[in-house]
Amino acid sequence: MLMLLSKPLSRLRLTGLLEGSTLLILVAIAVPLRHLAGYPIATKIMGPVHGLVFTLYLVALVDCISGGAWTSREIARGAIACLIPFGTFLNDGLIKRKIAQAEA
Amino acid sequence: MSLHEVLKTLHITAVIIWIGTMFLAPIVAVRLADERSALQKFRAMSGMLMALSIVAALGFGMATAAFAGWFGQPWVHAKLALAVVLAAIHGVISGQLRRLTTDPAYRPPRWLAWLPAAILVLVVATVFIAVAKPF
Repeated sequence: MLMLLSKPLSRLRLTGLLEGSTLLILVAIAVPLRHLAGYPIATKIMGPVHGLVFTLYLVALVDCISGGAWTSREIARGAIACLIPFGTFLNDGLIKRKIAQAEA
Repeated sequence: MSLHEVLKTLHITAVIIWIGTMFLAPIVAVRLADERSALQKFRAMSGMLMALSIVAALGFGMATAAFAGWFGQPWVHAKLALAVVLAAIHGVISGQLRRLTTDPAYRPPRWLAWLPAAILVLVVATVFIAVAKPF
């Protein structure tokens, strides 16, 4: 786990998958629980959790971009991915390819 | 001491360590650009401090706001927006330090020397919003 966190692209992949998961939980479970079942506690918990993971994804993304070797298209993909549900899952292939390139 | 006070104390402590390290890192990166082994040692130390303190600062900050019922108030959203900008600067610094310590031909860009000033302005604005809660 520590080895995974020590590499910037692996950190980006991990935070991306976590960001995608928390966004899905927020949108598909917590928000309906709040509005349809009257449990506002669900969004009160998941909102800040997603906010925290979103910010950590942003740090990991900017860290990788600032470290170099990212095209404008890849930067746009990484930035847009965290704003839409399933986005970071769809973008995972790009991160995996970049990890493979870095290790080659 | 209430839970709110404990969380707030931990948040402020983590923020002090985070911002302190982040403020110093660009200055060291520019000054030690020709001493890459010293910069490598600084990067190892500051990277760990910055990583742990940003997680603690954001985590305890979110918990403080959640337990106090502050989410939904405009000043909290303004403070969060500034925190996200500071977090992005954290990413920029981390990437630049890695590039400087792994690529011997890479020179620190001129804008790196201006980052502490940007951090200072953002911190003053963030502290003002947190203290005055103007909206």
